[in-house]
Amino acid sequence: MHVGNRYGIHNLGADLRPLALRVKANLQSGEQTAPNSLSLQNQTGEPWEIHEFKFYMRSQNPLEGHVAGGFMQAALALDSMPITDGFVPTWAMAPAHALDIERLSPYWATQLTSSALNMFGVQPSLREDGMYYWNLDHPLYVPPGSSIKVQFNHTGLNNVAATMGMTASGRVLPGTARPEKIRVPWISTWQSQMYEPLTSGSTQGYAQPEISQETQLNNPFDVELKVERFIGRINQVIQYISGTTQYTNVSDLFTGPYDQMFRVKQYDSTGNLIVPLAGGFRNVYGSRNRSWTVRHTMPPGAYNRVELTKIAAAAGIVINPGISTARVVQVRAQAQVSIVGWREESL
Amino acid sequence: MNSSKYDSPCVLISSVSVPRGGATPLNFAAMAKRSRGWLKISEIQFSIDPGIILNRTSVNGLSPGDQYGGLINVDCGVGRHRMTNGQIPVWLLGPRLSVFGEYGQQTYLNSPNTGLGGTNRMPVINNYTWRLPKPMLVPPGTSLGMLITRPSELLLDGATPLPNAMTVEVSAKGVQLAKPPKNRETDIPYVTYFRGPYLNPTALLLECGQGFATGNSLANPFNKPLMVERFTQRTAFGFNATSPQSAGDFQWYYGNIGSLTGGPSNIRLRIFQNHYEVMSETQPSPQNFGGAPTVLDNPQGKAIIDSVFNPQWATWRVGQELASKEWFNAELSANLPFYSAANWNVVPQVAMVGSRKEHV
Repeated sequence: MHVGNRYGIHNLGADLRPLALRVKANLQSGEQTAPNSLSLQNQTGEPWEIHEFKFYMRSQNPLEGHVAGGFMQAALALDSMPITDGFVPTWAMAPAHALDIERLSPYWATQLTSSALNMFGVQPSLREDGMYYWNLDHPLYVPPGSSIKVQFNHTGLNNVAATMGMTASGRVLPGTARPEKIRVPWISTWQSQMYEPLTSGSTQGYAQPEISQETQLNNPFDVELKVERFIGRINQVIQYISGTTQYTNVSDLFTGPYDQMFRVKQYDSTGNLIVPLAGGFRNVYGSRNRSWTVRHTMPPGAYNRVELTKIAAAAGIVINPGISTARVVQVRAQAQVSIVGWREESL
Repeated sequence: MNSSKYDSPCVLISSVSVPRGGATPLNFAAMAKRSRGWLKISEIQFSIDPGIILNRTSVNGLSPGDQYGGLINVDCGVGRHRMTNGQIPVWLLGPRLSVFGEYGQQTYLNSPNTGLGGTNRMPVINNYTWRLPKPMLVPPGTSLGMLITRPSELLLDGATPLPNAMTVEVSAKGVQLAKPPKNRETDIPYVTYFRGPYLNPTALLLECGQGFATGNSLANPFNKPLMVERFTQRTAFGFNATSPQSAGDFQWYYGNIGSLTGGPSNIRLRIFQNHYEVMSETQPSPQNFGGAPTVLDNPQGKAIIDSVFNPQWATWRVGQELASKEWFNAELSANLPFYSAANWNVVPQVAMVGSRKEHV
């Protein structure tokens, strides 16, 4: 549909102009914050159409650990209309279009001298930034005076303070009529317990299979939800001691035990067996993009349930004999699944 | 019948263990929807777990832990319709996911010492995705049958560092339709491939026509047009310790040569249709007619494979209709020694991926 038709006008063109608004906050480990909502308020006096949310995050102390979208989370809303179901991992919003870009760093281009640190993706002397882009499936119409409400959450998986920012980019549509209904994105996420991928035990004290709640991965609205995709991430946490310093690295980079450890089934509240037989996590939710694009409609009030089973570690997956196990504090991983779509809301 | 009035996502999953030289079918029931719902499959994913963490032997950035998709083949069909022309290496079904390997490329950018497992170990699982040219309708109760094989011909020697049975998991992803389709005609994919001979890079010079695909290897065998979506190309690269300087089965397998600097530029290709409509060529290079050929000669005008196939995705989108019973010819040559070891061999492979209309 031509943008002019979408908003009931036919004179769009010369007056269109790009607009990107940004908000930033500093967070201590485990802290939540709501940055100044005026930063993302549409003060142009004209409608604003958002095309993309961009998230940027940086550890304030790379010597101790890095940051990543698995534990740096955001909650978004357009005025009173929620965009996310509470806090959502920022890497669970959109396909991973370039896994290597998610964590920009000169580190990747270097050959490290310490294989021990390298093994876990920890390089204490260089900075790594996390970058995640959510290109909206449909532009988000923001009326004059309305604003994007943002809250950031550092879930405390490591101890480093972090800087986190978000940019909402799009364009101003001068003279645009106010539509009766707009399309508002929606993300709902489920996160599993943290499991140990290196041990052979499968239950680790948790009930198996672990099942997502009815209030997650859901359509809580009284209108249909147009689902675009599922996102599946494995949030990998590694704590390691070198010298007297403990490092914590969090990523979704490595294959191997992480890919092998989770098997999932999935069904929905209307009786559809989405994944009837347990399959590998990546084989359901995608490997390269960490996403499964499957457009469908969820009726009002419907929900998905994911059954997650942690299987025993595969034979041969052990910490390298050259590395003292005493220096490995812990290795953990959790599954994160989100449903991404949109619904229509009345203005 | 689907209990909802809405289409819903659906994944069919089955995994098998395939020893070297073995062939194992996927579970027939697991690859069929047992309800009365119709499926529309849009994507098939493969993961290959070699069941072992390999010590890395660094050879120009490659290792035997790289790209098992050249070793695992799939013979696929839906109901009575063929989707592959016999056994097709998994890595030829779709574009390459990552230029560094079929999984997160950052593990390569990092260093050899990556993957949980530590120094000199490799990440252990490869992933391949085949997005079908067009979504495919699958009637209720019809199984997406696949035979997973691991031919020993590419990796014959018992001393191979890949002795274990590999676990292959296949997931077919799409939606279950709430209502039966009004039209039972659908697009069924079809993949066929041509595998060149073993080429020894040090021995080759101006070996035109070393590989020559004719007849049914890149053909449309159906009595209806085939819409060719793309060609894909890979070159298996390996080491034959048992008979240096001879072309034969690999003892060591090193994946796709596309990762090797300088390698692809020395393999040339020409593709033309059976009525000699040339699809890829370049200007012939001068040659020394009076004496021995020189390394830069290219008298046949074959194009460097990386200029025919996107070097990142290892694919060439063509979007061309191939009439019934017609075929493509592919000529391969390697005309420049690019590696000094006498006992390296390469095996170029070219696949044609398309679809045709069928009633299901």
